[in-house]
Amino acid sequence: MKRFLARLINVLRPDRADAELAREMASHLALLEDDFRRRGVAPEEARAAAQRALGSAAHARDLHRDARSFPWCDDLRRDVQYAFRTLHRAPGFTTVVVITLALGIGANTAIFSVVHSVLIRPLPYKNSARLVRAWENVPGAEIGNGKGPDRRYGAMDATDLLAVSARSRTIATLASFGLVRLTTTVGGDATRMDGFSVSAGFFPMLGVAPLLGRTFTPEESTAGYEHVLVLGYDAWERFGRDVNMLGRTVTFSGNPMGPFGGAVAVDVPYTVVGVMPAGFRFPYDNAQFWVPRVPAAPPDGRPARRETVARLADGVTSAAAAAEMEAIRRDLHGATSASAPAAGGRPRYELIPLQNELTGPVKPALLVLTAAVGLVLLISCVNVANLLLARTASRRREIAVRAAIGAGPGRLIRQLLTESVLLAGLGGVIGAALAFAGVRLFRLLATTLGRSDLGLASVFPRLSEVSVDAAALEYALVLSLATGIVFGLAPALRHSRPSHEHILRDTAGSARTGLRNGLVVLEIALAIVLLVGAGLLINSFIKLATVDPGFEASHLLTFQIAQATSQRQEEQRAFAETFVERLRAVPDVQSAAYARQLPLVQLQDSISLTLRRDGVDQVLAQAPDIRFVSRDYLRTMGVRIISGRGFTEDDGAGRPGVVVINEALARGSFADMNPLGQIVLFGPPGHRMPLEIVGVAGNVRQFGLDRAPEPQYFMDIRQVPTDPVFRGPPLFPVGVYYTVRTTSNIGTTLGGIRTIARQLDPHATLSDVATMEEIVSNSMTRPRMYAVLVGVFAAVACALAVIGLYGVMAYSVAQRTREIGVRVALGAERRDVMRLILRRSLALTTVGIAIGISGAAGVTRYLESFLFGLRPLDPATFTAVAGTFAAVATLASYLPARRAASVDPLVALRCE
Amino acid sequence: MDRIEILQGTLDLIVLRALATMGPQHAYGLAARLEQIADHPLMLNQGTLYPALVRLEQNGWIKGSWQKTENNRDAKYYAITKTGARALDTQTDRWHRFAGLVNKLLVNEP
Repeated sequence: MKRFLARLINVLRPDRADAELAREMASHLALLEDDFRRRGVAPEEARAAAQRALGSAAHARDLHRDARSFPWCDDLRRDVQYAFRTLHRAPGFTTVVVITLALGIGANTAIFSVVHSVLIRPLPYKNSARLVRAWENVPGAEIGNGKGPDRRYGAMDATDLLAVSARSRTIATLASFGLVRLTTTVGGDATRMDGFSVSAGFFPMLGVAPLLGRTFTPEESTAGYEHVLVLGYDAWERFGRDVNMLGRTVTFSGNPMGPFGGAVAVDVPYTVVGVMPAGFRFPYDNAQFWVPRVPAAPPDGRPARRETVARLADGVTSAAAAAEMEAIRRDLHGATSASAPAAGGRPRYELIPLQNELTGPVKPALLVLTAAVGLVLLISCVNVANLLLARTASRRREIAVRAAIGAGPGRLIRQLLTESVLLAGLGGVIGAALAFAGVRLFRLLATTLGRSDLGLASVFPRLSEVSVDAAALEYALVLSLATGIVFGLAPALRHSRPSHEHILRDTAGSARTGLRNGLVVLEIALAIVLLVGAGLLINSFIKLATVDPGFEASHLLTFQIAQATSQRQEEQRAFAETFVERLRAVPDVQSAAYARQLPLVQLQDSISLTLRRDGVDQVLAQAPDIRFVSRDYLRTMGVRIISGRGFTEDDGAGRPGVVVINEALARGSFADMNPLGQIVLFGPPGHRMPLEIVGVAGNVRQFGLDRAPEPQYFMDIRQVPTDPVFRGPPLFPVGVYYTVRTTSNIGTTLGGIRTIARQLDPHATLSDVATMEEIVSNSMTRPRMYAVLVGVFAAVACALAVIGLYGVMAYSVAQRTREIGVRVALGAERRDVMRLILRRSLALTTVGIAIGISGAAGVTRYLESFLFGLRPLDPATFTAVAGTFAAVATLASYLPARRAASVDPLVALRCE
Repeated sequence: MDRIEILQGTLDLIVLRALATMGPQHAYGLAARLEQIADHPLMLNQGTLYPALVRLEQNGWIKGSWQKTENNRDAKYYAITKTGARALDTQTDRWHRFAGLVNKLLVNEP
């Protein structure tokens, strides 16, 4: 052990030991010489004899070095030094190779980081592989009047849930949760927070320890003990990260009539019992607090559903657990419901692993990105292989000399491998740095407004966990070593057996030129595949971004108002009326309105309408989506009125009922008549309210720019009855949305709006402030991200392919200088020479493009689900990519061609 | 004038033994001593002593220091250490057993 350390030290500090040895040997020699002289040998001879006796100093030095350190280490050090020197002498080659590899390794490491963080790394909960989400397929026959379609719920019936929880043996724990959207006052400001009411099993199932305090005890899920609260880290920060937070109380306000506010009691103090650590945001990213849920029947007797997570018992499959759940449900409801056919041939319950449920939507995209960076790496490797082959000619003589003076094949392979691994290592280091930048870019592109009301479709799951971690760096290391070895080994093996032929003939064979051409064609083909993919995604994104949403998004500000007091929905409506009235007085405000929801807010309520025609009532086939809006909403949003009129002051409460339908509804249900003037009935039987169709509005893409407009009608919110017997949908399930059209700077207008809100309610704050443009942009987050990322990868691939082509052309011109000189001497013109070179590059490019295009045609169908408004074989994209690449490639070969054309025959012929 | 091939590892033992009996020596002194014992003027290239010396020093069995010879020349003198003395005992023991075995084989099975 001691010797091992000593040897290791000597590996690192060879010079000192060498100096010491030299001194010792010199003294040895002197002593020997003295001795010889003493024995009467002449001085000169004494010296020679002494040297003979001591033996070869170099040999002794080598033996000494082997003994005092590790010979292989020493060789390695020398190899590395030599490699550094060699590479330093060819800075152009080194730079291109290192950058090429860095791009390939960097892109792969960045995407691997994302894939690893999102898809591979287990969720941060105890034994999270056993956690599943429950889905229930319900036949249409069991829903409402029994005539609707089959439905698939992401939540379970509350009654079934209790039964399953009590009886199941295949499920270790079952927990349910529901969103609660409440407001509390922090430092005088009304602050809206999203939280979840959770059943007793929730926290024990996840097994995450709180940062402070505790989670809920089982008895806190029983009536009378439930007013306790666990805060999320973000919420705790809002309270100033007060370490004395435990034991303090928080009082929430909210609309007790709303489906969210109704889930938990408001206006009572909740005692804080715990704070969760940063990053804990189960079940959704908006979770800021948790309160216990007392199991209770819904007050109005309607079936209630709650989202469900379960932990499977050990060794139980999710299919077995689902089957047992169904058996329990049948047992509970008796034979009648058991006889109902399963919806769409699917099992009643489906239990989906939590991680799949969460990350499933982005999995295909991540696979596409992985394939894209795989192609980039392949192109990088081909490029490097090509460059290494190009070095063949210059290295061959050197290697032959090394072999001739005694380097064995093993030694030569090691030397060449050292060089390529060193190149790959440098590429890997820069690549890792690029990966950090890449992941930052990814997070930037994937970042959304983070609003739960805008839907999960734009939110990237586990984004906060995405980082370049140790696993990713390991991956980069393995990747660089692998590429270094693979692309170093081929030339190394080729060179390790030099023959005399190689020394004598220093010309590259035509076989090698063929190989290089093949590699360039391969590079071009791969780059074309990526370019086509990127072209499709970019074109698709442009189509999406330029789609007419049906409203005028610019100069439109939207927000909600958080208030410290709980308000009934009539009070909310009265407040909104007053507020909007006052807003009109603000300078820069062109018009102001409020509504139940805005476009792209994921809140849909379909309520059927009955058409009364010639005294006959007929339910419209399709239940249209309902929108409650204020008087000026359509005008403020810039929704077109196609015929008839929008709402006016005369359409207030108590006035004759009116409705504006959209184009889709007019086309679908009023195709054979003029909808204007028709009477439709709104509301439940016995409380029907007649509405006259006074206008037809243009279609609005309410749920996403990529979703075709659905039939819809607008009611003036002042006319919507709030009487419970109407059983109408709540007016403001997620609060009132305001929208303001401004003529100038949004910042200054916002100040005016805030002042008015404070005048009406001293604690009021604006929340979820965003321009409509931001909301529209937010909805396109994923397509934009995919288009940008694949676009970047394709650009890199294209650049590498062009560099590869340029390299081959430049090399071939250099090689053919003599031939060109002869041609020129024999009367060839500049034009002819250029044509000669360009023809060759064009041939390579054409073959590459042809292979690439047919390859792309084979794989773009995997992009189909990402495309909007075009087919995977979009001819325009294919043509544009082929044309653009051909142009760039010609440009790249123009330089070598021009150099060829300017060859001076005299110089060319003399140079050999 | 055949050179005697020195068995791998035995040189270490010889050097240790020489240092133990003669006291501190420089490399040349050791080489001269070996030649003297071997009755052979050129038993080995004296340079081949150095790997053995560095091995022994790294093991901590001998220790080198620069001193003046009687003729006032600088030379690195090696002295055996305590652990070196212990190692010499075990190595000597091992050598006897090994040599005995080889001898037996050579004598009994001609």
